[in-house]
Amino acid sequence: MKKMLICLILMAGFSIVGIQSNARAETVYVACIDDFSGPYAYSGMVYLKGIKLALKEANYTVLGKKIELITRDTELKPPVGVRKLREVVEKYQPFFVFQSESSSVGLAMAQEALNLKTPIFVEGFATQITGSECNRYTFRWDAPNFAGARSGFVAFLKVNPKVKAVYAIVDNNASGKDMIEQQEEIFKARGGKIIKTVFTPLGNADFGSHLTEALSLNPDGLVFNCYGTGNTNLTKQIWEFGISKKMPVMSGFGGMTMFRGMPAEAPEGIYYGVNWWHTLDNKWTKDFVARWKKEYGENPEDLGVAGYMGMWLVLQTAKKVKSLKPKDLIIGLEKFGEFDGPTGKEFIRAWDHQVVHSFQVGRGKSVKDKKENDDYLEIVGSAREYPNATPQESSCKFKTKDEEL
Amino acid sequence: MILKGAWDEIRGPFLVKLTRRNELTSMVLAQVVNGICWGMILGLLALGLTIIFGMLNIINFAHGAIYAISIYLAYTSIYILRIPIPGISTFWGALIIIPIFMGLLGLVIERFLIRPILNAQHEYQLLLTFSLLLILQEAIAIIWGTMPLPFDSPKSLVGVLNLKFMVYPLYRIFVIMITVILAIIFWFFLEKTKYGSVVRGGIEDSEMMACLGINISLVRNFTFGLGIAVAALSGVLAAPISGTLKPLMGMTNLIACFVIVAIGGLGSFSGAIIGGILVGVIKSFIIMVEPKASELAMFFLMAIVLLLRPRGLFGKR
Repeated sequence: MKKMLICLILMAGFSIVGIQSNARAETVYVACIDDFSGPYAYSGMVYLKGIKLALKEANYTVLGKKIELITRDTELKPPVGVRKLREVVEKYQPFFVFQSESSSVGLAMAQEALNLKTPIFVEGFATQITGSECNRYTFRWDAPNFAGARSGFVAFLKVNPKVKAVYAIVDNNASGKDMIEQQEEIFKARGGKIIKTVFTPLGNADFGSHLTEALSLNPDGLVFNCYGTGNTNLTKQIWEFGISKKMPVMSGFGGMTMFRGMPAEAPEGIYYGVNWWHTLDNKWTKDFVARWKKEYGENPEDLGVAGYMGMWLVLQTAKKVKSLKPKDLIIGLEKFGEFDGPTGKEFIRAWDHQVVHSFQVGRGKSVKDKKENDDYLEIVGSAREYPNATPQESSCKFKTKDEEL
Repeated sequence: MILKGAWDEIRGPFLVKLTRRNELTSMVLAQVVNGICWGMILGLLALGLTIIFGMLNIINFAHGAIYAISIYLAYTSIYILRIPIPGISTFWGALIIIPIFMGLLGLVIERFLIRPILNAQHEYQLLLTFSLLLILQEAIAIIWGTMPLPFDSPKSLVGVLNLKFMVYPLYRIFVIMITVILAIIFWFFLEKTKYGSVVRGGIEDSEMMACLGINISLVRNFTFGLGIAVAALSGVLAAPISGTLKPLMGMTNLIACFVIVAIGGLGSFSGAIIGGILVGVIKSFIIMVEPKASELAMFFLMAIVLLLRPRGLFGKR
């Protein structure tokens, strides 16, 4: 009797464990490990909104399984990002991970994702992410600085041909340094010269010293590659010092939330590079803006689009390949082909995992020309300039044999 | 013809040298002005800290959070509540109301939190002001969120002024002028009025002042309120030029304030102002050469001053 009772208890126990493990198998995970605190905090929030919208449109399900979104804060520190990635992979085995904006954090996490054999979308701007430090598990929708400089900076120089000497203020991180190197290469080839480059801490609050120095050196133009609150603060102070009225000014990066944090007049006349802008004249954009507004009650920005596109591409691929295994998803994404994206026809390059799309350059509108509060930019240029047209030229050399995945 | 060529050869480099010298002079002057602007704000903030320390012998760790919360309150009064004061725009209204409100709050904090532990060990005082700092910072994050918020200069002070050697934003010039005026007012109050002499006496030896029949508790209460009001005033003044609003924005300035107080001397009015200007100007110059070293520069300055004069530049104890 006693033995029978023990057997019954054990059987009941095993069946409960079995039921639980079945239930767990019905839930699959994706993770957004991003900067939710520090100077890039809001970029992480916007990126997450994009991911959530794509998931909501898919009813948080894929291949009949429920998707759960795990979030972790990198605190804008590469070691923290790597640690959180390890923790999430160990605990949840997500079928895809997403990270945005900080290239330094992104590059570190991309290497760790390779070690952990977990595919990841990394949306930093450093060219290396899908260039010299690429790997088979890493994808990106955002254009690299190479494209940003050749689209944005070239357009700026075309409009301002007299600019031959510029003063540069740059974020002291992988993306800022990469962008100024790309810009310098272009500028030198055109006979221009960067008279001084200042590297500032991320999210710097006061640029007064640099701006007074720039005014004393009297350059032909000012270039700044700062992101997040640093960009907001600097644009505001450029306007306060009257610099944008005195000389042409170009920012390598721009974004709606950054604009919303500054006086409406501040961005007027300044050129900004953006991956996407909500007034682009295409069907995808119009539909997306309407859906985003319905969900969040405001206009979307390129970071939200990056989050949405990454998640959307992964879900579409999963449906196509009918699998959530990393190997199948990676091969599926490589073979995704051309699709209608935010900037028109877009595609994923199989040999470096870069989504190729056009990059926009906008000029800050005056307050009287604005049609709505968020109408900060007039898109004045758009180009599709990516490094290395062929795999042979590319500095990205990952192992391409599928069996090595 | 030959003579002209020779003259051009001499004149060319000379003109270049002259232009470079002018550039250098204007650059140096520009950095001095910029340093003074920030230095005066920090000096004002440090003044609040130093008079509280001098009078109550307590290190107020919450000073930076008081500065930050004042900015957030000013933001609320300007952008959300739009407090109407007849004849005064919302920014100027905030500049008057917020320091008064915070000063009154300071009186309450002193009476109910500081006074009960005034004679306790220093560890208790540090724990109290440090926990106040954490509470205020978390309160900011809960009430206003962690997203950066904008704070613009008042419309009447938007634009630049040509100072011949540089152009400089009107608002920053206003900040320099108003902080100089405030420094003179505080100096007059502390040095030339009866109440000021009581405060100075309290800073020197509060027990002796009590023996002379002065209600020292009341003086302490008022001094704490005044210190908090000054911190709030420097916060509202700094708000339009201190970048987007963030809950931890007071921390950086708090550290700078401690350095200024150490450089200027504990409890010294002149020390706070001169120390503030020194820190501001040095940071302004170093940031041009190596931005990463700008924060370190003030610590070096502090180390040098303390090595040469352990009491600080104007400290008496």
